[in-house]
Amino acid sequence: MRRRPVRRARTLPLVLAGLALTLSGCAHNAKQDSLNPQSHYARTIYNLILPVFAIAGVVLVIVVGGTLLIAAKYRVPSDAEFTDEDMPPQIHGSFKLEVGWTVLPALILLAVGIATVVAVFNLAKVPPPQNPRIEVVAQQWWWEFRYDVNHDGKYNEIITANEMVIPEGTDVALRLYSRDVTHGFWIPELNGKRDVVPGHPSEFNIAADHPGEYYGQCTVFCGLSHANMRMKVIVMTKPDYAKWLVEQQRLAKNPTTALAKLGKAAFTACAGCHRINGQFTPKQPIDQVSDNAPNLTHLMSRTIFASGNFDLRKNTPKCRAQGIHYSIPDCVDEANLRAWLANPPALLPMAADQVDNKYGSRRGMPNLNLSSQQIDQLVAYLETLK
Amino acid sequence: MAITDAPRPLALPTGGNQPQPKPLGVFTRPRATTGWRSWVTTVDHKKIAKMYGACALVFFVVGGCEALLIRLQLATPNGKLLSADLYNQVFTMHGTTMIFLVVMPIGTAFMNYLIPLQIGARDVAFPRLNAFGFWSFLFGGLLLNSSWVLGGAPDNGWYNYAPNSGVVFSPTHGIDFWTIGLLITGIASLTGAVNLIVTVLNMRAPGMTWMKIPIFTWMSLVTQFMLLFAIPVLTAAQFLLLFDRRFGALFFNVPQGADPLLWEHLFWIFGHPEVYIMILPAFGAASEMIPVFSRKPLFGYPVMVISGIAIGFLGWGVWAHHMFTSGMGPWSVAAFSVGSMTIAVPTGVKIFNWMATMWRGKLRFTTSMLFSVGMVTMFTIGGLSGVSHAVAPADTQQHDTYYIVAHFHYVLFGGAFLAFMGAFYFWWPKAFGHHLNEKLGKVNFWVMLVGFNLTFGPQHILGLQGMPRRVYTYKPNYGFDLWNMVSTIGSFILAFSVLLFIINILYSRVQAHKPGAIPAGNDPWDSRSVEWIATSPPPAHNFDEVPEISELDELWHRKYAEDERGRLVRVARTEDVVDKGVATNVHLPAPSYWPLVVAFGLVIVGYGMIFSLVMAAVGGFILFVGVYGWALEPSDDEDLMNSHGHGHGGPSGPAPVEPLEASVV
Repeated sequence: MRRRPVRRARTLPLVLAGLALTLSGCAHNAKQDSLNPQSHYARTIYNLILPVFAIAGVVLVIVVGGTLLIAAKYRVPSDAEFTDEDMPPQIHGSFKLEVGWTVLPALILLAVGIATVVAVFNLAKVPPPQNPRIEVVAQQWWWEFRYDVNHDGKYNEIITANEMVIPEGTDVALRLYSRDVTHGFWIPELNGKRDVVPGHPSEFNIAADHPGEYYGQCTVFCGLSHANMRMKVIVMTKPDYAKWLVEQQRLAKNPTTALAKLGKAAFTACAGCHRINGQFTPKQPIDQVSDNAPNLTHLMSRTIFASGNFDLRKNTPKCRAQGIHYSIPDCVDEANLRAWLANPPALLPMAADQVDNKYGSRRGMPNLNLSSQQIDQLVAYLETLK
Repeated sequence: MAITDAPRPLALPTGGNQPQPKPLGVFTRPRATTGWRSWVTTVDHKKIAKMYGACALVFFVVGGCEALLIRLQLATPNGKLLSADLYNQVFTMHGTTMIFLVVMPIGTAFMNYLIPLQIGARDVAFPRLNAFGFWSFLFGGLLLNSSWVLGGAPDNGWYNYAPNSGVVFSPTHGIDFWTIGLLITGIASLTGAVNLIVTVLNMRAPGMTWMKIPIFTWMSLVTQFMLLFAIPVLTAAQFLLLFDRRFGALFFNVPQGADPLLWEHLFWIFGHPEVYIMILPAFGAASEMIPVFSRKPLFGYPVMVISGIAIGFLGWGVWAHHMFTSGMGPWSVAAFSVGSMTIAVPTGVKIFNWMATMWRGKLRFTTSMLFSVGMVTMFTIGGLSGVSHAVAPADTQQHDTYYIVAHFHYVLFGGAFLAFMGAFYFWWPKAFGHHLNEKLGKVNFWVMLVGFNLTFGPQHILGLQGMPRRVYTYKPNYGFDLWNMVSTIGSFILAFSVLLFIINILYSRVQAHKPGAIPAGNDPWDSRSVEWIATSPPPAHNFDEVPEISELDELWHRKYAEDERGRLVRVARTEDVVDKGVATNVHLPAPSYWPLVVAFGLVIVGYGMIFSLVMAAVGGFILFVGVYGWALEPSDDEDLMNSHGHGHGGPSGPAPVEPLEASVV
């Protein structure tokens, strides 16, 4: 009995230090923090989970604390003398207690259950038909976003990759669709996740309170490069978004500089897969299991490329401040682009160089063995795709 | 004296009275009782259980090394130790190994060892089937692991979602190894389930009515019923997948109109009961240890039994909570969400009843008790995080993140495995006749507890901060760096604790063989249930005489009674109420090598399915021969029988025979 206070005094600072460390570990720099809701969807979830965590915390303290207290109180030291007379009373059970700890948790869970069901149906509400409609198309190992701007039911007016642009404060209706295996769409700060199941399209919603950039990545294991299947949601003010919609629907402009013109000619090597609206249209089917590759028409309005793994916009405060119109001046991360063009499979694991077997074809961008001269030309050309 | 002539309502006729002709050639049953031959031909449930346990521990080391590779890769961002391809194989094999080749067979080891002893039987109902089950498990596990050297291990996670499991997306044979390996271990589980269910239903000692069955056996029975119904679902799903991959069937071929949700539903209809299949035997073990070391009966035994059965039933109605994010619609999500919460009720009852068992007891903190209490607290953490993802909207944030990884390691390692660790320390003296070293055991416990929490505790934070599962790498600047490093450090502490356990096994064995070492004795812990009546280790026939059961906690009531004031008084010395190892005249089933032959044929069929149908035909032939050898070898032969003493069929009347080999199986 005398030892107990000493032990408590020793463990208390440890516990506090642990707690402080935990909180400090949570606080900084988590781009995919599920406990940092930035939309009413994420907030609905957050407001539901906080009380559940609180209840769980109380139960945890009762059970663990209770068990430790009982252990401390009724412990018989192993060296203590113990005879048959010291045997404890043989309690076989207590109907009242057992009914109590059956019914009480059941009631608590009933309350949690009701709140859960309400939240489930609230989250499933479909946004009004005039709201933006975007199709999220997943394939190994990148995301495509297709916009139904004119609300004709066809998601074909804008096709972009890795980055989804949405207006602030607006519920956006998403249609999730996969071209090969099951993937998982998740922007933690904006909503929970939803699987993207091939042959089984599903409806999902997303929204954001404020302009900004929100990160996410694939959550359902989808093969070799699952860990690298990243995405970003760029949230704009409504006027900016309206402007973006117009810009994105323009065809690509022809290059003007000599180098870029050479680059356009060199792009023929890429046009087996990549589409540039008004300039290059690959013949279908292309040499990819998903029969698709990112549409590059407005590449320079994206801040990331190659499945969101590399910055296309230099990651400096000055360049970040320019939003998506960063390409002038000097904010394009040409080094990243060059490295990628030189040998994509060296930067990301892909099944791109896999020899075509009887089962299908490539997944991912193969090494095209481009010369540094060709890379210079291609970079100059790609920089015209604004 | 005839030992087992007590009335047995369901005993089958044995024909043991009639002398049988001595069979010839290959039908002669093996007779080795020592050496390696005795192990490969054994049908003794205790030897089989030890082999299950030993193999499971070897697989545990393999799976643990895979875990360390995972943690090393993830210790820092952009880890370069493993390639993406290799990492995907390693994490798939880690999960598959730990579930199918470690936690399940450790449970099977305890169930196999303890069920006959706890119900006062001499063996299981079908001893040769039991041996077949073990060999199938071992060969299935070896086949699965042989994929490492035969072209690559499976690389699609233990859940193996379609269509990423198809040949287009996983062209190596890895997934075929996964499918066939688990089909074979599934056969092991199924035969084991039938065997142990029949054993408990039919072979309980006289007087052991339903509510006098030891709690571990009760939980095991529930487990076996769950296996009986769950394994066929997985088997069916794996057959579909096998036919897709090997013969171009279209069950999961999406362009041809298949729906991948078919696999998800089938897998989780198996997969969720599987969770309880792993945890219920552990609950049962803890429910045996906590009363013994509290010197009190289990608090609310009937409620513990009923809550176990309730978990068994409810476990079937909640599978789709693994699919909250699959887009199955708000009605399904709501129903499965509320359904999943109901499981927390019987589970909570168990936890509170364990606490109440300790309450006002006289607690002995042996290693087993430490592990049991560790299990109660650690499982509670896992159970509570479980409730947080039964809340479906919250699960859409937690699903497929490290929060889930943390959760199921808290229930499977913190719950099942800690309880099994306690069970090793608890029943080791029964099985081997000597204790595991207690001092080393306590160090083992504390190191394991610290390592475990350091490994998996931080993963809650990682998951909530948005780190997905099954990623071979992560980037800096996502806030993942610190806790991944802590987790990796923890995993090595955990690995060290496992090493301590292995050292303890070897050290205690050496100590026990030194001259002057004190044997454990029948009842080293002042225990309660029937298995402690047998000598330690029990002889092949388990008991001198099949015990007559008049109480739950039979042994305890032979030692103690309550006086008029409800206080405990000793009525007999332990030595006087336990076996002395002087049995005579017990008839046991003879060993057989046919189970091994049949299981061997099965695994050749398995390799044949992967590599060549000719080979499969050869395997099929071996299987065929094995089954006929099995059926035709003599079931009961006077001259060759592996009996203790030779008073068989003596003047005392009816043959002192167990109904073991009565049926053809």
